[in-house]
Amino acid sequence: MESNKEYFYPLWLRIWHWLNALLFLLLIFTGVNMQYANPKSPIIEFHTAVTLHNVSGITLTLNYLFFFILNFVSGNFKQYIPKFKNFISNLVLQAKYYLNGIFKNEDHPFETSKDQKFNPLQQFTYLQIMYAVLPIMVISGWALLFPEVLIKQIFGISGLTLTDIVHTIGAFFLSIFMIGHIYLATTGNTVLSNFKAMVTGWHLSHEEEAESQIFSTEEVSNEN
Amino acid sequence: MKKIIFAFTSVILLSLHLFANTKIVDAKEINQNCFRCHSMATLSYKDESTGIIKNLAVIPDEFYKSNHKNLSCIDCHSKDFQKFPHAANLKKENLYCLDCHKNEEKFKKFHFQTIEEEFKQSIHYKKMGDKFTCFDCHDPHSFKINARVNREIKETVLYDNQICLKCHDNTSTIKNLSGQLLPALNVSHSWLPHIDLHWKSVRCIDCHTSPNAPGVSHLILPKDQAVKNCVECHSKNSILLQSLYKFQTKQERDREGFINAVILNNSYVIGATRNYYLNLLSFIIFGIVLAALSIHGILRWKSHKGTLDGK
Repeated sequence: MESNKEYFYPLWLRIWHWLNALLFLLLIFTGVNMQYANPKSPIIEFHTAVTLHNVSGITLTLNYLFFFILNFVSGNFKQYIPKFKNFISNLVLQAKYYLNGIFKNEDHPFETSKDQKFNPLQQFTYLQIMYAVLPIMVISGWALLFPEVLIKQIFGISGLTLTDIVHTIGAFFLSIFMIGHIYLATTGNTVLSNFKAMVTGWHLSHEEEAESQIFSTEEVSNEN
Repeated sequence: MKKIIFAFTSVILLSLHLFANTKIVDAKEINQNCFRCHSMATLSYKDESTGIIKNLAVIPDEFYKSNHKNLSCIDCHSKDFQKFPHAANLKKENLYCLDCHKNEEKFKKFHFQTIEEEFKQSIHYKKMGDKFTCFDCHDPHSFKINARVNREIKETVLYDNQICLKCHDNTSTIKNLSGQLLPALNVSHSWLPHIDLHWKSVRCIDCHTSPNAPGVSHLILPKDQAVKNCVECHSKNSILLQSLYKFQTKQERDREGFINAVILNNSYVIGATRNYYLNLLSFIIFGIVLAALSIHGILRWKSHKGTLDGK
């Protein structure tokens, strides 16, 4: 069994990723504190939560722009574009692995490489999170920061309420995503190897001997 | 026999109807005499003892839209006012809302007795005593009941806040009344995020009165006792449900089945606006995800252990 290392994650990506992770945690924590504000058991004071949420949100916007530009310039955005060929069957294949193969110590169905860091399920999810949900969160967040710019009534419902519901639902999905993301990150070579890779940038994989499958791949795949 | 009863009832109802109408028509006719002078917008005189200019104008349009529209002027004012020129001693006429509003059964739900008690404990009365009367806030010639009947919360807020702002947004008026120069409202409220939005969405009295009144609270508190803790409004048991949304809360609760619907439908208050169904759904999904991942993790661990044992 031969170990080899590949430099998967450049510095800018790692900085963006961990800052994004920190801001996610702060935003979820302060957001939940506001949504479920309770005068009897304040974990963090409402006023502090609001300020922290606003500051984190603004920082997240800048961080997102940083990601958006560098992801484009570096060409890394191509990683996010799913292949149309066998799109559904590839998703099913990956899902089947998580639901079944993983317990039988089967290999990850898709080979990961520098040019193909994400499996189809990751591509599908990350594309939506990074290019749909996060922009919606940023835009609705800024709208809530300047509520006077909002449309007063949309189909008889207050524009503010509607924006808030969109923001809250988006936040909920991002929270669910974050939990799933962290869990699936443990399905690497070892439980911690993907986390280490995201810190050092070096993705550790080890090639196995003769493999008959077309998608012969490593036991390792960067899941996240 | 039936026909006789029908005819008899009709005659009674018709005469009652005519009588009721006549009363209103009478009131309007009597008022017409008063409005010949008092509808002039500039009608006023300077009280020589105090130097204050007393406005005597009443806008008929506003009066006939007000809650007192069916009254004639002399229902409240002295009948002697019908003589012109008015006698000098009529200047001393001292009217008090509760003279009419206290004991009548139909006014019971407004809790005027409590309002009077609250008013006596309010900062206005404590600071200014008898100089401060109901009429300083409520103009009986244009007064319209609002919070109880108006479903448009924003209109209620605007109407009620204008009552306070009439004096409190005017530095010279406040100085005349209190003898001190108070900071501008946007300065004293600068701690409040989105000031304009707050002022359009909640009434001054929602923070500046004691919320435990049976009706609309008239216990205006000293400024250091006003609500300043965000979570008192921004939480599930928002005090707004006992103040601004009080009269709508019960109806909405009966209809929508959950208490915060009223705030959800009318405005957006972080912490208080919670959609019951979305909330429940989110907890269920969250629970399922956590359970699924835990089971997945345990199974992974077990199969991994099995492989190791096998080796």
